[in-house]
Amino acid sequence: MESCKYLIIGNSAAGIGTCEGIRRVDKEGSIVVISDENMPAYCRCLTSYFIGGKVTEDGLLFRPRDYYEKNKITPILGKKVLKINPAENCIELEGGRRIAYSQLMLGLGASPVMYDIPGKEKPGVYVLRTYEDAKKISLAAKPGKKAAVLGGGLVGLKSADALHHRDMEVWIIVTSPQIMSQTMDRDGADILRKQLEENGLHVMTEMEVVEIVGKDRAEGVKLKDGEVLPAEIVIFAKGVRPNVKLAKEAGIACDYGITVDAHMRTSVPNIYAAGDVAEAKDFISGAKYIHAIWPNAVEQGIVAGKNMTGQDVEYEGGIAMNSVDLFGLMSIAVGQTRVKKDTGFEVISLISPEHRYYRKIVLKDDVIVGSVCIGCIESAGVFSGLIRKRANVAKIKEAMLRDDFDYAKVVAQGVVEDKEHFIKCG
Amino acid sequence: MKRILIKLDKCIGCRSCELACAVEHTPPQDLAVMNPKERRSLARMRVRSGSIEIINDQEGKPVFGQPRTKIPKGMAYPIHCRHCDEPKCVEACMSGALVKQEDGAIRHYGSGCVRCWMCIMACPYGAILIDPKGKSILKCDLCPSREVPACVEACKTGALVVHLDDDRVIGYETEVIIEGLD
Repeated sequence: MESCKYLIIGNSAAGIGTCEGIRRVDKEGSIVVISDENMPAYCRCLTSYFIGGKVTEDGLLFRPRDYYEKNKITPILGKKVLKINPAENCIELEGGRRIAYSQLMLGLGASPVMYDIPGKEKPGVYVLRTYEDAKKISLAAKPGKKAAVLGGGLVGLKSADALHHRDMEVWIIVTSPQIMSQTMDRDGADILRKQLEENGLHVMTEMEVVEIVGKDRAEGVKLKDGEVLPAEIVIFAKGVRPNVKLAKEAGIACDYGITVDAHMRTSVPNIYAAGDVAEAKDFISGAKYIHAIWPNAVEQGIVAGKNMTGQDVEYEGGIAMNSVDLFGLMSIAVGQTRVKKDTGFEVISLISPEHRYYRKIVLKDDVIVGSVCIGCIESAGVFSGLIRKRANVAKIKEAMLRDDFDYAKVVAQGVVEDKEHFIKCG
Repeated sequence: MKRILIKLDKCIGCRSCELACAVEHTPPQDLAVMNPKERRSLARMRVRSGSIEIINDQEGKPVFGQPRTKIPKGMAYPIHCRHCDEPKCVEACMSGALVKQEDGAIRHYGSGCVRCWMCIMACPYGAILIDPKGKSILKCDLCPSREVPACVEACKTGALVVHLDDDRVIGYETEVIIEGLD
């Protein structure tokens, strides 16, 4: 049987993060990366940009083509893993090929959820996750035709934006009372909705699609109030579900995703998990949660990779965060941005629709737990940093709401101490 | 290892470093022969005020879009990319446009950038800037063609100096006390 020191299933953020974590410590140990997609490491978050014509196939790659060679990694692309066998420390690929490992990392990812409604199997109905999905949608997109996007999260909005760029007329149909209900608060979502509508997209909230109508292919969507909207392209963007099947069959403990400890270890020795499949620590609550976002997957991969080499590195915990640029209006939401009244949270905000400006900070006991920046985002990262530092920001509350807020104020007001610091440069 | 040392108590907020940075990133890299009508680069670092005095207009409404250029004494803070060992910006960059290179510098390769602003969301120092047209990020590249970065060379107060491997220090290490600069 073939064997390697480090075996990584998954060739995206978590998989490549793991390679990088390993190579920071172990420059030589053999690494094998397996993916069922026949494509060098590319970013699924960029697939909507591909549909919109903003990036080419090469632009999807987030590492150079010679990355594997340069880092002494053996890629096995376009092959499915059929089975994980922890008793023998090996995996089995389609075709019967078996590979033994010393350390295994499961970056199994997640898959789009398709709701069970009549007509969902018709040609013209898509999900957007992989490059293959994007190619299909891109081929189907035709100027002047109509599309319906089901779901108002990041994938939904970005797909809608992409189809709109291809000169299609697009409806975004959302079940919740607002778009981006997972990451953005109501006021912020309203500003973004306005931006979409002013630029020619149609947004419907508190609305459900009950059927996809059409003879041989999708021709429209039937709404719960009986109205039928014409649409040749229908995209399901109702979120993703972690791919836990392989892990479950191997006896690895799963809840919603694969549960991992602070070292990204699963319940089975020598097996780690990271990325959209891993249910890891949430930084703010401390509970287990999946924030299925790019930066968390990379960071978890790096932590897993270092630990696989024998280091002892703990994952600090993930924070929900997302950035979206809609027709030039930039917005970033980090952490807990939606809180109920009388739950011990303090909310401060500043809004100026005429300046396209909105900023909101959510605090608990003078420590930031969430922030929203719309229109002016340059200091959004400072808030992310203050959340991670759990710094007491009582002194700078009002200043944080202003567009000229920056790290200088954090230091000058003593929120974070800094008298001098070094920057390594070569 | 070469290191830039930033001593905050020596910064007087003169912003010479910002100007030098902008010049360094605008061909032909010489202020004297620059054509003011041609495209200029902006600085990839900045000196900002630590003051939290709230600025409102005459009606008491917040003022937007006017960065404070006047920096009260003792409140100047140069915001530089730290070229972190565990860079959050590189982790967040989904297009691979930000790369931590072998010399330790984190550099931005604009052709791959899709302007998703994830690096801005991730940098705890807010050290990555956006050009005013919203078309690109502006990020310190540690002046790859120079031994000493332009900002350090321009600093005359000793706030920015370079420490070399052999303990040599390049930059103004003098004690500078300038009174009356408020």
